Amino acid sequence: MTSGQDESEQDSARPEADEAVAAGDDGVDDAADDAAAARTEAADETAEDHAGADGSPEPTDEVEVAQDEPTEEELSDDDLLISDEDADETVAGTPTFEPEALTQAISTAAIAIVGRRNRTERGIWITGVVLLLGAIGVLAYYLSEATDSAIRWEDRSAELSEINYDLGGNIADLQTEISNLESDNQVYADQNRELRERVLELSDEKQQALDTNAYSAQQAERLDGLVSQGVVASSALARCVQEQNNLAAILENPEDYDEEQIAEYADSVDELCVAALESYNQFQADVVG
Amino acid sequence: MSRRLIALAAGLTLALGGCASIPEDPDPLPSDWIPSPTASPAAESLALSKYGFDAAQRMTVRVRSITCGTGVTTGSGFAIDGSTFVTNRHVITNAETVEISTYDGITVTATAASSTQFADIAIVTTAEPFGDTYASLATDDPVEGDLVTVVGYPQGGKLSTSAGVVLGRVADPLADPNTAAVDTVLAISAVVEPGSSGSAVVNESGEVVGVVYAKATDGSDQTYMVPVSTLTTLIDEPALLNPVSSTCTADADTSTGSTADGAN
Repeated sequence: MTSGQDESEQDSARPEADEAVAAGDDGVDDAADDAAAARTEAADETAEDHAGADGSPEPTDEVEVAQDEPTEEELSDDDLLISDEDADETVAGTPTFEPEALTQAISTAAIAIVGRRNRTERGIWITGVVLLLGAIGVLAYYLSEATDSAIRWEDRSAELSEINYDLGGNIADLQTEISNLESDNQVYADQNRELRERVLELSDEKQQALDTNAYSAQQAERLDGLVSQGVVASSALARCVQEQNNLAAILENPEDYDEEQIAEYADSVDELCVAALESYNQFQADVVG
Repeated sequence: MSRRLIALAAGLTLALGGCASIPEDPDPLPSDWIPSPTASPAAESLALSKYGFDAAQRMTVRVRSITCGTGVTTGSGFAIDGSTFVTNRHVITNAETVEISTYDGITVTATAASSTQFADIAIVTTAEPFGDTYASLATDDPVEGDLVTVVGYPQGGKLSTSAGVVLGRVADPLADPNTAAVDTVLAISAVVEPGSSGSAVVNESGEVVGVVYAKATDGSDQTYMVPVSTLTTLIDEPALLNPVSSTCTADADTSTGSTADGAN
């Protein structure tokens, strides 16, 4: 603890001494001064307690705490009453001045004050240690649980890593398979394109053949008609020739027939031959057309 | 002294109390590490068939028209339901028999057809279904600059596509002033060939925005299409359609003109 802190604690102890002086007679002024000095020493001891065993100065942030403590503990009402009673007893019980008794009384009072203060601090320390032990226990439990959980998650991570490697291998295999299938698909697409072209070509050939068949059928039908027409024309011409031969034979011996009959026959032969000629001409026209 | 002890005890209490929260044990490891799939391939894509053909290809049909004594002509068309398709009127006019074939070679014979004089459009039905993919008609006509694609069978050959842009509205180059009510059509830059008549013109969303019916012959490579609004009107108003006879008549449809040819 710094010297400044000592001075502040000494200053805080002085009011007690002043009050003790105000409560006693004039004859005990020196005793009061001694009591004040004893308190000052006690305050110094307390200050030494705060300074630690090695006497090294504590961090600056504890300065304020050390300055506050005397106002709450050392300057409590109990402390003031003890000081006043001691002062009163000294004044009432010893009308004559006895320095040893006064010193003993003061020492007893100081020891009582220090003991009570030690008991309070011990209680606080015990409470703190108990809390600390409890906290350590909770922390140990927490660390145990957290460790178990971490182990489980670590196991899961390892498991997932293994599965990921397996899946990665599967993906690689599938990608290879897809690549092969795409290659096959391209081949099939080319073959399909060629087959489609072939289907269209075959369909076209079929249709061309059907066109030819239809045309041929139409021409065959037409030729069949021409043949029939030719047969008719030929028959007509043959009958015409035959009738004309008959007419010629008749005309070679006209006296055997009636002149009027010969004329009618000749007209009928002419009509027949004209019709045969028309049929022939039509046939020729149809053949050409 | 006592204050310091109390403060020490309080500090210890607070420290231990604050640290006393031991973490809980880890949860049990899951037994299944394989995540549920977030997406799975559809059993059958709506856009692609099992053969990989897209919807536009699957809905497109090839039209074979066996005309009355004049041979076989081909055109294109597209399905609007399981047994109905749209093509050009001039593709089926004077046809004795109309057959259609799909992208995969299925051939079906048409049983009835109807058309209108208001536009070069015919709607043909078949006795049996020929597919399960139908056209999605756009709600609005395309505008100038829109990207379009023609899907059809040019020259009666393989199913193919041709891309272009919408050039704008023009007067119908094949309009009959006596009968035509559609005075304007859409011109596009997609190149078409004979056989592309009736091809669907689809936009970038795959919706049908028109029907090819003619191409310019002046070297401009313009293609003309009936806008989807006209097609929608005809589908919604069957009264505007007239049945097409399959009996052979002398008056064959002549879709070729001085400035444009029918694309069949």
